[in-house]
Amino acid sequence: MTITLVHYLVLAAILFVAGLVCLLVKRNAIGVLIGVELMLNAGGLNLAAFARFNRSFELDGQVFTIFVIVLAAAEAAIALAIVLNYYNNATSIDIEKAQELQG
Amino acid sequence: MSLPDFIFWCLALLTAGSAIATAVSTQIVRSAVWLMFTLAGVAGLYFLLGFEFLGATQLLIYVGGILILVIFAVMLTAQGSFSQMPASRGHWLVVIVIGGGLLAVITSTLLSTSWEGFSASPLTKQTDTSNSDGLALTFLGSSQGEAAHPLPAVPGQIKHIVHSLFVFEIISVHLLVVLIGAAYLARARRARREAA
Amino acid sequence: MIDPGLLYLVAASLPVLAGLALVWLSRPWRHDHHDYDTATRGERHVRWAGYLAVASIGISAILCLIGLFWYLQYQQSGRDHFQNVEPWAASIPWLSLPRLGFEGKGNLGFSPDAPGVDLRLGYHVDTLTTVLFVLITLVALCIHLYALRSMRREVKAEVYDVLAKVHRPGRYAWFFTVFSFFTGVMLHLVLADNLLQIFFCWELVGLCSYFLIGFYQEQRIARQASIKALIMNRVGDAGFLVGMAILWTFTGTLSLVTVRQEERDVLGNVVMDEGQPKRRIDQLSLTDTLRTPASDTHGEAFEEKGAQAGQMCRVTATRSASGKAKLDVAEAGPLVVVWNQETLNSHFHKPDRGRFDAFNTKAKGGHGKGLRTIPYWLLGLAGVGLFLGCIGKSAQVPLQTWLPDAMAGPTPVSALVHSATMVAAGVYLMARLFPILIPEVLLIIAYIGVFTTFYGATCALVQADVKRLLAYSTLSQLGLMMGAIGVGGWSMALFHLATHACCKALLFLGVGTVVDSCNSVQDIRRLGGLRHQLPVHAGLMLFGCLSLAGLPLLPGWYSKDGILATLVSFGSLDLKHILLAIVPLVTTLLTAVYLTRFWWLIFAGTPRDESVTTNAHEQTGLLRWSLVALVVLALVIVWLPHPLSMENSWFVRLLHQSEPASVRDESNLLINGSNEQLVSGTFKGASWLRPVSEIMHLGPHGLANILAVLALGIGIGLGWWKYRLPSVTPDGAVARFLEDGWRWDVVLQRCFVTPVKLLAQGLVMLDRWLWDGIVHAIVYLTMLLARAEKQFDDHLIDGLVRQTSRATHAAGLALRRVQTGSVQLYLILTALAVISIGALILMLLR
Repeated sequence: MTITLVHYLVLAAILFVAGLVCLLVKRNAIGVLIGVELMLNAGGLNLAAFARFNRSFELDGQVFTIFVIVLAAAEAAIALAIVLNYYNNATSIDIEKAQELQG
Repeated sequence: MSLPDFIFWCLALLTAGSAIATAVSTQIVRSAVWLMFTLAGVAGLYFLLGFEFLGATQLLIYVGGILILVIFAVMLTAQGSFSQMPASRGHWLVVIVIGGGLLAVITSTLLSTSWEGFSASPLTKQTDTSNSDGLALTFLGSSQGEAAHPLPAVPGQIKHIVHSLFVFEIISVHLLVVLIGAAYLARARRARREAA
Repeated sequence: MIDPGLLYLVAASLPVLAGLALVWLSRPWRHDHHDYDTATRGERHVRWAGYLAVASIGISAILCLIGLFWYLQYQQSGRDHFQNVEPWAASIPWLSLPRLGFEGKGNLGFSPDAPGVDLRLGYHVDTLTTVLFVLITLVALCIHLYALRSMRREVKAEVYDVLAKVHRPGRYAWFFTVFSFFTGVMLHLVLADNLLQIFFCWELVGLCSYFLIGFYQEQRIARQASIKALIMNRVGDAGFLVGMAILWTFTGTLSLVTVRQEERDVLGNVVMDEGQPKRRIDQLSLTDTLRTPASDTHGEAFEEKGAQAGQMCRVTATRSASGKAKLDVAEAGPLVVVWNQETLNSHFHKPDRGRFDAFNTKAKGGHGKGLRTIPYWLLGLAGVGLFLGCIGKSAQVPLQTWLPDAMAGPTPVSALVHSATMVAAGVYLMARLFPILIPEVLLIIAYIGVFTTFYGATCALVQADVKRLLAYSTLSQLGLMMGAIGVGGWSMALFHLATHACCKALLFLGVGTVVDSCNSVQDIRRLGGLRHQLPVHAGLMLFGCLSLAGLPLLPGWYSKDGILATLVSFGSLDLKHILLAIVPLVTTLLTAVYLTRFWWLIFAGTPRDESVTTNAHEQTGLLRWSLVALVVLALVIVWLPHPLSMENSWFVRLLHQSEPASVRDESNLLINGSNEQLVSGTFKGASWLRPVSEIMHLGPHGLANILAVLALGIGIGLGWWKYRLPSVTPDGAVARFLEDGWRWDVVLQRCFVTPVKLLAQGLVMLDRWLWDGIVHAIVYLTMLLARAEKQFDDHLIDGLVRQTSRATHAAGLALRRVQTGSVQLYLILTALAVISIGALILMLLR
């Protein structure tokens, strides 16, 4: 049984779902951020796998993966800044308490 | 089982396991550590796929950058009550059901798709080992590499020449904006709070 | 060299200006203001009002005398006054109105393309004006001088009103304000050159009369009298307005003077015609519009069978088959031709003898070009309307009762306003309008005048109040003048106006002195024997009484004799109208009786009430000399240049000159004429002012003279015999009836005031029940509707709105539960959605 694209994709799916679960269960805002990172990685892995298994995507896949990595970095920077700000304001990073948008 | 396959399985196990651990661990510091392993595993997979440049980037940015940021954030906000905030049992149940459902949907979709045309093939010269010249040229918008090594046409795909200079520019500007935004958001505002 | 007409304008305007200036001094709006601190200063201050008024009227009198001599000289220079009026008349356009144009059956007077009509403001001076100016200013000057002294008690800051028993501020300045203003307006009335302007002045003198009657406004009787005078005059003025409206509508002019202008060519040079400036008519007077002109401006005479120059041209109208209206001259046609300047400025060509082209305005030439007509009866109605105005102003029956009541005013007012000038304005106006009055109207005037004479004399017989007695006497004399006008004794009426003005003013002023020296007692029954205390006054008043009664060679005799002669001539020519001859003769007798009684009871005999008469003493100064001046004035009027030949009297000659042409023409006809002409309705007035030789041979005049003197003698005798003993006035039903003025007020009250009040009450009821009811019903219905609408609004519209908002609110409340604010819940739901969609797609693809 050779390793095919599907293996990679399933692995990425597992990563994605793990990220989602992390996102949903963590009450800590940083935990949520970690979940997002996981999901982004899943996406990046997907792109890389497609690039490897089809030559026409070889360069595109890499470029987009890099794009995703950069996006993740930017997102992390912004998100952490937001988290710190929120922490400064509310002295808490519990997202259960961050319910100002409640209707 | 060939060596690459074996390595894949090892890396896949590491990545998936530590991802799940990241998700389930209640302590935020542990999550961060498990995340590091996950990132490292993904980097290994990039290497395994033959994309050394990607792998290196992954290691540098994620493990060396983002993770450090996360750990800093954890440290800045680490007060006893926040390090452990377990979710309720019912919450867990719902999340697991949803996660499982999503996984099932994705997996069944993957399995039911015929992946014709997607097979392992030797890498082109551009992305050859220890050589990121092709990638760099692509980023710079050069089509020399492609002219020298025409890519085979993929059925159902529109042939297009990759010019990523524009993408490169967008990334640069994006990063700049993000840096400024982050600096603005994170700056100290004590004076204002005192005033308030 | 200043314009002579302007001189008169200044003379008339001076008293008006003085009056207006005095408004500031009198400050009528501060009547209740008691400023005792400055009382003495105010006294000295207020005296200037009198001086100013006297000065203005004095200057006016001098100007009038200058004007009179100027005018006489102008006439003697031989220039034809009637051809060249410019220096003596001027007018400015005031309002320009388009002519009402409509054509229809019976409205033959209208031509749609007739020119517009100018209402003008202007003055004109003719002989009558000059004469009356002199008369008015001189009489007014005498009375002003008298008032200067007699009104002195008003100078004080505070005056005690004996009758009203209140203290009130003195009104010296206010008196002279109105007095002066009145004189000026009266002069303007005489000076005005059109009816509308006369009407304005007419109203203004009425207003002044109102103020002056109500001068003692604290007395209830004075207030009532002033309002009564105002209202009764309004009744007459309504007729005046109607008459004016008719004349203006049909003739398009209200002017009293025909304006001729020198014709100028395009270069502005005067067009000469045989060495004389060619003149064209700019505006026709009322007289010239209604009476056939002698010639057109080209000197061509108008000849038409049955239409003599100077007569009203009566026609019948026929409409030919082609729609053209034709006017045929007829003896007693229903229409009277209204001449216009277009016709007179063109030639009297006659393409078709005896017929006028009434509406053929487009035709070139032709004497009937654009002729309009006025129905004969409307002309009569206009005359009656105008006479109604004069009835009100001159206190003729039936609007006479205001005049005796008007004696509630100060004595100088009674003398000037209510005997000498204002009430004579009616006579003046009738004299002015004489040429446009048709014979039927003249007959009405004659009968009303004669009846008023008799009425006034009978009432005066028994009056106890001396001033009321004189008022009834005034009424009687005014009636005599009106009667004279009615039968064509034009110049005699105005002559009597002048002599009566002097004598009556004299009597009033004398009575004022008597009353003032007898503790304001006006009851003739409590006076008596005053000849000892007031010898000079007794003499002056005797002169006035005898003159008014008609003692030969005294001023009143000349004029009264003339009038009587005219009336007797008229009555004797047509026995149908014999009453017009008999009644005045009887009245002469009555006049002699009541004047004798008047003088006898006051001055002769012994005092009946010592308390009243003891303090009386002779007055000197202005109170005496103003009376003497009036006597002199009266004598100057009749005695110059020679007392015995009245025809040569300057005054009568002037009046005779100013007689309208129609009077002269018709008196000619009368003297040579027969009863037939009277019967046929063509009225022929009489003038005894023929050369003496002619007159003395005529029966009626000699008869009248003899009868009048006889009546006078009998009257004086009767009066003396009746009142020679110190008995009081007879008291009885007849006497009371006469004293109340035949209970005329009661009649008026029953016939007019009560019905009007009832009508008003009925209208009030109608208003209250019907109109208010309708309004209330509408209000009620509207409110009902509004209530229903409110229900609809509250329940349906508001309900809908409320339900909508409630539903929205409920939906919001329901939906806000979903908005937990929990990001993770959102994500869970999103994931659920993704899963569901993915599963669905999978199922569908399979």
